[in-house]
Amino acid sequence: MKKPEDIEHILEVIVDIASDFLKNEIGVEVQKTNQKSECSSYFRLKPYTALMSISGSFSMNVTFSFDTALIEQVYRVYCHELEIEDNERLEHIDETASDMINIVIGNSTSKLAHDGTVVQISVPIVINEASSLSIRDVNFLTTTLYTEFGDMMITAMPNSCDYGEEGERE
Amino acid sequence: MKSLNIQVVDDSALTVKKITKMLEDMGHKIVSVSGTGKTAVFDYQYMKPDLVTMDITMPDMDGITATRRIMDIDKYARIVMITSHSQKQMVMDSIGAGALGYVMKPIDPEKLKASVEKAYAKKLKKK
Repeated sequence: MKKPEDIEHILEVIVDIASDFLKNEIGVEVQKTNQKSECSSYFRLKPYTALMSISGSFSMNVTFSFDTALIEQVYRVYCHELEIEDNERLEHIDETASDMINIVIGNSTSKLAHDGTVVQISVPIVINEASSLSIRDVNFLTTTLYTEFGDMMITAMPNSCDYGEEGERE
Repeated sequence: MKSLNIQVVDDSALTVKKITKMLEDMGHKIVSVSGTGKTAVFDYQYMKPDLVTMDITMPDMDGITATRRIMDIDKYARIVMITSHSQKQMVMDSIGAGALGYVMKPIDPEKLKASVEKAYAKKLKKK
């Protein structure tokens, strides 16, 4: 799993399922997407970021990084029937981000585990109010999903993987 | 169908709230909430619920192992997996461990209802 097309395929599957989740579960349409590959030691984050590790027949980290307005819209719709106390709100916004990455990556696994091997996914980690991650010698591929409530960046960070040239395309 | 005493196992407080609301709307009672696989096994022995809803990815012990441990304690346990994992192998492992049903997240209340009813009916036949 070191070929660039594999990484692109993985991200494509995840982006498709994330777009479907936003549309079908939240009622938010993805207006356009933009893909960018980068090799950097500096990874910029949006205000809400959920991170998950995938291991098994392939190994990588995936992050979902949300603009505040978008994750708040996801939270409003996702939790609309629940009674939530004021002091639980922030915790539940974190859990909404966490649930979303869990559902999207979990739903992607049957398509990603193309050789039939079981792929393990970690418990999601939510990173709040961090503006960046410092990483060493990592190539990552990011697709940004644009919606009327703001953007969401989905980034695949393969472990020990070289692929592609830095670039951007729509 | 009669009201069941149900144990909900999931490490996400939000998912627990969602599942609890759906099951209570169906007329069931939540008698125990466990956030890890280990506590799920411990709680099961004391609460002896009619049915368990079980997540797969949890800290300390995954839901498939917890299902196996509960089945070792009580071979008539009724366990329905509720998870975002969609891999065939994961479904097979869950059924192999003793789960009677499998519901994918995001949870559709109708599918949850059908799965709970099916799991309850299956076990009644065995007894």
